[in-house]
Amino acid sequence: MIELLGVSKHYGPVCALDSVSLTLPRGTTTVINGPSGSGKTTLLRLIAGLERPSSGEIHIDGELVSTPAWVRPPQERNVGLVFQDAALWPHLTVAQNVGFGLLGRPRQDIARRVDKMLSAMDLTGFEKRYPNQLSGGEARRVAIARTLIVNPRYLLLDEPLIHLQSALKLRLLEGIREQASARDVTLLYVSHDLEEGRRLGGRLLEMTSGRIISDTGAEHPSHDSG
Amino acid sequence: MIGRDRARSSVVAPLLAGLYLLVVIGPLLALVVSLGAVPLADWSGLLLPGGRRFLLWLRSVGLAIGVSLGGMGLGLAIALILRRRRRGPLAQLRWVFVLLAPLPSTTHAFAWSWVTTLLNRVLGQVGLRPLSLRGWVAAWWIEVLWLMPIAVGLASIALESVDRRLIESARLLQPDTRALARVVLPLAAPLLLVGAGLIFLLSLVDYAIPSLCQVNVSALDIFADFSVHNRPGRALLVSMPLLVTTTATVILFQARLRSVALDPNWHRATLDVPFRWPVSVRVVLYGALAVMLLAAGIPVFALVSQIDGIQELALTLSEARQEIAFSLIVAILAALVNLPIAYVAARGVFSGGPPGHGWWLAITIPMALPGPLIGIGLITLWNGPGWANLGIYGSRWMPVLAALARYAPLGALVLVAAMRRVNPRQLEAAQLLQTSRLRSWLLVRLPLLAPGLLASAGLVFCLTLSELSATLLVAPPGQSTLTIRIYNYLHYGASGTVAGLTLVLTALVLIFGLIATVFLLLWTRLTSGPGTGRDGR
Repeated sequence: MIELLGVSKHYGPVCALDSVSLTLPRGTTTVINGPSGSGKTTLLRLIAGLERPSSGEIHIDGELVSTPAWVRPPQERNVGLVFQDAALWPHLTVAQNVGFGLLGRPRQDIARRVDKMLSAMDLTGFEKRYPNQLSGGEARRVAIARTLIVNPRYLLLDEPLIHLQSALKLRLLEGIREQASARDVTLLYVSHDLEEGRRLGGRLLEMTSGRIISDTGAEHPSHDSG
Repeated sequence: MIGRDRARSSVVAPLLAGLYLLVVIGPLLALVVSLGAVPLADWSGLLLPGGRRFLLWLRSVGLAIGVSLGGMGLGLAIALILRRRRRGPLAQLRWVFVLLAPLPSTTHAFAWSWVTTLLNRVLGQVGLRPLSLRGWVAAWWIEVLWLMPIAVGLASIALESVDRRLIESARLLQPDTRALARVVLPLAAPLLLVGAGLIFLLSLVDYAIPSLCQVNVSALDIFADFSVHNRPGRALLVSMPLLVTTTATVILFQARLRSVALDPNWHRATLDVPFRWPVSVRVVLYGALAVMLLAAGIPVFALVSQIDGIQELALTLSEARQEIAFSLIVAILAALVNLPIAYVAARGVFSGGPPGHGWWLAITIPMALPGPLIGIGLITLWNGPGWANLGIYGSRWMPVLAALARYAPLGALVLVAAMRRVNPRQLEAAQLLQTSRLRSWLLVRLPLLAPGLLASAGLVFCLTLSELSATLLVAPPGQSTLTIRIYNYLHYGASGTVAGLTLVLTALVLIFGLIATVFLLLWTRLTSGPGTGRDGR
């Protein structure tokens, strides 16, 4: 479970997040919707440990992970984050990008798991390609595969399907839902497209000016319900 | 109105472009023409370095490689510590290196001469052999400390060039050391290599520190050869191995250098949660930081402890008032003349196609010229047939021309980067709303470029104050700059007089640097924000 207790984030005089308290139970799907500048991305970055809160606390699975004075490093949180623009490393191949999180394990083990993940994401045959040889949709799939391969307990997605064609978007949304369900991952999905959020199902939060202004569907939290 | 503006601009711009080429490229062309005076039989002997001259070139290149590796190694370590910190005492440490950057090489040489004297006093008391500030190791150490702040800046640019999201993606999956080794460093490598190339170049064309450490290098050999033979063509042939090395370095790195200068986004975002390193890495990084603090602290202690009271300082300054005034006049004139000619050269880079490439070469290739060769080229040009009647040779303008020939290309490079950072929409909006080109230039383009112009002028001012290798050849009879006087005194070791003069030189450089930095910070604060097309964060 992820718990945010009165979390605020200020960038100089700008308040990006204003005393947000929120609980995300295990195995649920939550969609955050809101206009740009409403604090959605900041919320994800705080949970991932990429930002330090200006006030408040964040707990993951009952452990305190972020305070204004101390932040547990991102790689020690078991949280995956898929960025808006895939953010693939341009100097690494698709296989190296996907296998990055497994570095330190035996090579054969990495190769086996990378193959399995690429096959699950319909990316077989793309192993040796570089990011500049991929289409937008392929790059997003690689980014999702890179995040899922380390089996994160929590998967945060920051508008991962923005600027994609709607048919492709629907296919990828279905893929994300399937993968999350199969791995029992808690999903937190940010989008400013309400329809996209509805298709994913689950709980829907509305954010404006750094605050959560509505919270619906919390009584049917599991991603199996969508 | 528009027609008159265009006519004015169509006359002024080519004139300024011609002036840039005359001042910067002219000395090199004059040297090439003077090759005709060298008998063909002498060419192969001078061109191909053999025996002593070959060894000298080898050692000079070796020293420059050592300085480049040492400087960039330390620079990278310090940049990693200071990188993207927004608060805490370490965030304030960046000011140390900002203040350290413009310190002249003579200040470092003086400081370490003082340290050696001090250490030798202690070693003598315990009966140990005294240390000597002579030789390659001493020259390497002082050059590393002198160029380290520049290396920190270059390494910081290289690290900042890596997209924050690429680093964050790696940090979510692996410890920071692995994220650094597998993602940050490979992505920053091309720019780190450019930085190493620049440090290599600066070290290779300098002879002030090696000569103070009684080490002969190729750049000094050019000066010595011209002093003995007084034949410019011969000096050009003698310098050819060095010239080929420096030009090859510039050509090798200029494609990447151009992308750095033309990339407006290299200092965008900060990491809110800094890197966490294991103890072993922290020891190395903080060791490098200690060296930087040493490089900053030793000159301060040396200057303070060597000055024999206020009265002595006043006397020293009074004796050197002519040099101080002359140095200031030369530096101010060089900074002011640099602005229009560097501006036109920088605009030329954006003209696209072959002219754009040509201007880029006119900015970068002169950086490969060693100072003494520029001095010899200036003498050949302004004392040559047709030009000697102008009376520039032997006048006070010669040191100004020497400074411009050496540093106007750097000033232009700063302006190229500054021009690229201006949002083109802001300029287009001015064009749409203002019918007078001159007025839109004065009211919009000039203010938007103000930080770049100030940085360009400040850089040329600071570098001119400490210029030695070309000025030494072209200083008018009976006139000397502060740096030349300090350099001459330094051969006799550290003393109160040198301390006083070095203090003045350092203070002049720091005061101007500080004013420029404060202005740039205020300007950045004023012009960043959501409505400007540039996010302040």
